[in-house]
Amino acid sequence: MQAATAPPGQGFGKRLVFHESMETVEVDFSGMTFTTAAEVDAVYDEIDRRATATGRRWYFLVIYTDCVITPEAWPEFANRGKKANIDYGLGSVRVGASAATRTAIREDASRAMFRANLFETRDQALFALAEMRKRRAFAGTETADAYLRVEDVHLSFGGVKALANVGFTINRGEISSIIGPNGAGKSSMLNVISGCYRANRGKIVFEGKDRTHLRADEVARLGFARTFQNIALFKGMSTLDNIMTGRSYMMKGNFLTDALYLGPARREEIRHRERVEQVIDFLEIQAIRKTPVGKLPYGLQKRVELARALAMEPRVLLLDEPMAGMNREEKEDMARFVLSVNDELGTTIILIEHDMGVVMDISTHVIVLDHGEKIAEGTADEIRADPLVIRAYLGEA
Amino acid sequence: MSEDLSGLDTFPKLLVHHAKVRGDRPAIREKDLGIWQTWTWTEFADEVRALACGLAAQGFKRGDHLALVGDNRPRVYATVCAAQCLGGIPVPLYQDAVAAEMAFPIQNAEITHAVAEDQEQVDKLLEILPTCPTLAHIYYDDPRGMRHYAQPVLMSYDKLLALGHESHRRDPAFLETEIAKGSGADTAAMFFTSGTTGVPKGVVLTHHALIDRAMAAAQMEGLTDRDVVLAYLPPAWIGQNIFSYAQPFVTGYCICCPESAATVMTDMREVGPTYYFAPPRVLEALLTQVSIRIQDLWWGGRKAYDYFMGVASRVGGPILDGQAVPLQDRLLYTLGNIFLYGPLRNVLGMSRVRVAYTAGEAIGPDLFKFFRSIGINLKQLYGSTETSVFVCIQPNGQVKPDTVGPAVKGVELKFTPQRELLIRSPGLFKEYYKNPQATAEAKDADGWFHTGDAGYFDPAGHVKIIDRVKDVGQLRDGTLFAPKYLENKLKFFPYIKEAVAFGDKRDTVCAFVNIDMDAVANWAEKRNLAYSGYTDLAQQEPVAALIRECIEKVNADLAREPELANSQIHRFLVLHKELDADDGELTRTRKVRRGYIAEKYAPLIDALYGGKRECHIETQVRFEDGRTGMISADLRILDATVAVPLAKAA
Repeated sequence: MQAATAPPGQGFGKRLVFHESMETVEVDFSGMTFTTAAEVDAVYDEIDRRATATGRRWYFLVIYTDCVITPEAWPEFANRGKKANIDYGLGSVRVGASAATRTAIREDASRAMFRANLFETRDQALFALAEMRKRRAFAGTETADAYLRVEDVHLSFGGVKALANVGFTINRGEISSIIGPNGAGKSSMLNVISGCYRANRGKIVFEGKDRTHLRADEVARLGFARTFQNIALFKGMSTLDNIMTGRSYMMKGNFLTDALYLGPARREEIRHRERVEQVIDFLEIQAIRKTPVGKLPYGLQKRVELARALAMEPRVLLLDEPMAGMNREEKEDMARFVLSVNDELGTTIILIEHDMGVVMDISTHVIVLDHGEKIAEGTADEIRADPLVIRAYLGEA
Repeated sequence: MSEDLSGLDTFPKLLVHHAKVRGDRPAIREKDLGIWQTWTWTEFADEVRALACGLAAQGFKRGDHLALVGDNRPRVYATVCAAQCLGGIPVPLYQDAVAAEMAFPIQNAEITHAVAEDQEQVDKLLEILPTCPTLAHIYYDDPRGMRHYAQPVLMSYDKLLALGHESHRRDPAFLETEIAKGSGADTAAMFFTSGTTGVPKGVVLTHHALIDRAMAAAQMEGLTDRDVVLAYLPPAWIGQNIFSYAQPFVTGYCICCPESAATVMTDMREVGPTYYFAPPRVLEALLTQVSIRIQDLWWGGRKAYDYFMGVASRVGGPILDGQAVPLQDRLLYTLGNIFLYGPLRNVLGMSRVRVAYTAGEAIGPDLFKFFRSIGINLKQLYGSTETSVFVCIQPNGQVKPDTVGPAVKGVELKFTPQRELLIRSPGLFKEYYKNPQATAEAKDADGWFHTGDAGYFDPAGHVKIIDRVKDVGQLRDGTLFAPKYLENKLKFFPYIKEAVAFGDKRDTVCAFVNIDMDAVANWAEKRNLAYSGYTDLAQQEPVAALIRECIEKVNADLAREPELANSQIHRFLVLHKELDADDGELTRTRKVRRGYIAEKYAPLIDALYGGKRECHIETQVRFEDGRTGMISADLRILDATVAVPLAKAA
């Protein structure tokens, strides 16, 4: 294996493979040893030279098998990597890093707010890469831009400060959790995003446009759907009818044709019914289609509530404690459905949840609120170890 | 069935015939997205054609085996026929098997292609793929969750169809030639018997065997192409293939696939099948549901129910048998029909049922009489995978609760001195695949199949099956010990879901009991008994007393039969967990695996016979996703009162 003591950069070019069709450059650091910053620079200069010569941006697939980076070399390694991504990168996936390297990468990632994207096998990394490319193509914008940005939101009810200076960013296709002790302002935050409450100060920017002053129904039309903590279904109506109400804002039609169920009304009804049936199929609730919702057990009611939100074909789904009051099996089922929604429909999901296990398992991004303020934000692993978060939940030692 | 089907000796040829003769009639319906979608015989034939050409393009050859895993849906039956068109052999597997269970059939049959329904089944197949080198192609039907799967071995069903259409366009005559090459002696399908003991065996059935038996039974019952059948039992089971594949192909009737396992009852009500099969277990569950809801009626309603059910049990059976009945009783029955039996049949979805069969295990006589008394023509039949199902069927008018009927046309029967039933029939299997030893043990040189079932002919020449030959035992005093017989009597009570009786070579009979969660929970709630789950409920004293009552009733019944009076149940215990196929205690068709249970619960059996009052037990269980865990409990052991025998044994 080549040691980086050879003439700077020379020969490293062989370890760079440009995969045109995947817009990816495979950087093979396997078996290499970096002991000084100079060695790192030599290699990265070569990478920079080759990549900028192409005149376009690339995804990085970095192979770390048996690669050793000493603590002296690490800061320069991290910096050059970050610079490369900013200058000509679209995102990176990393394969085969040793435990020490993984820790180092994760620390950097949390500080600099980028994704660590560490994988064990090349196949897994390639899948993730494909997903990243798909999402970017779908979004039509650079991944660096936020999909939903909340800036400096303040909300008070008389003397009670529900939210103070809360700001965070949600990327498209993420599952973000908002967590915090009781009374932290989580539901208020969700209500502000969905337009139920008007913030006293602050901005909500969605897809680059300022949406702060929209009413709740206008927010719904934008593609936001939400569920409620205490279930807001119509208890006397059947499951099917409840889910159909989710389609209401998409229904056009005039009074006469609707009343007499003439041609266009009939066609529209069939169209909506088909979409609702697809949602019923997706959430596996065919057996309770005609049951009045009030008769259903709690866990199933929550699923029907989720179905109604899905019937709106939302781009962002706001879930307010979807797992509250459920036993372990029901939680696993609901988590499975939430993941399916995110994976298959590409819906961005923001959820408020108390069950830490669920949060850690399914979220890609976590925001912690306490007493109306944001005290931490990051990946699940970072939050778990954050002393501020622990203190907020458990109180002062 | 008035058409001439001679010369159509394989299923593909029958399909071609139906597409020609009744191309616009419905062949298969499936409830999807809330509405019933229909495939006519022509459309079904088109799908089969495209699929067969696709499979051929993927390298599926004559003699190859194709695995199917998934629930009932039109594509299952299309796949079965497509494989047969090319002279291949479909091998359906149980969809609720864990991955490890599927490995043996795939290795044994050297399966090259598999059609899986959804991501769950695909995951299982991928898990065992390293141990199944012959498996080269996996096709999946439902694309949900499959987006990230990039394994080259996978292909979607739709893509396979597209390939098939393309291939057929290029060579339109190919499929016809392939179908013409088939003959009745070819293997039509292979079914792996789950077996209550030992390793599964692949039963090889030919077109001729299946068609012959399907036709014999269809003619006996007068089935026509206007009949309707609900396809809801596992496709891996021979019975499901007979009722929803072989017989439809022979008569042209329509099968309906329900939306999901949870909606079978509502779908059945919508379909209104005319020809129905249910294993005794399902009928027990139906009766339990009815009993529970009747108990919720007000006092007057319950009284009316009891009265009219009394009328029915007196008179209903004979009316259905066409016997003479006093006029007053007949009028009362008609009244009951309007107010009770008719609506009850409607709720069960059986309003249009002309013929209903049950089989698979012996059925409790009271359960059997219940359905007949409300006007459902429930009959028993006897057969197995190795015999293409139909060996004995009770003809209309000769229906008795404790026999399985006389031999069907074409079948020869005899009993050995050990009371084992031997069969010779055109429907017999060809062999156990790659297992000549087992084949030779089962089929002797003269072509008689040893069923392993014990029984005798009753005075009317009907066969009465009492138990498996190897399970029929004797108590130490020589009394006949037929565990199944006792267990069935116990299971008639809605509170008892499963029971296992022990007594061979012992002085007395003891039993394990599983309570039925639905029924006992309902009972407990009415008495304000709190419980936190199955294990907790099963160990409560009032529940034990309830079960004891049931056992004492059975003992009273047994006391009336001279041969069995001494096999009354002396001691019993209520198990803390349900016996489950995933733990190996039951087969996939829910039959008790006696030997395995005796081993696993040996400490409990010792405690029962050792006179102990209680016993601690720890058992390993397997969850549905394959993980294992331990459950432990202290079980109470109770004595049951034994009734004095009414008459001495002859």
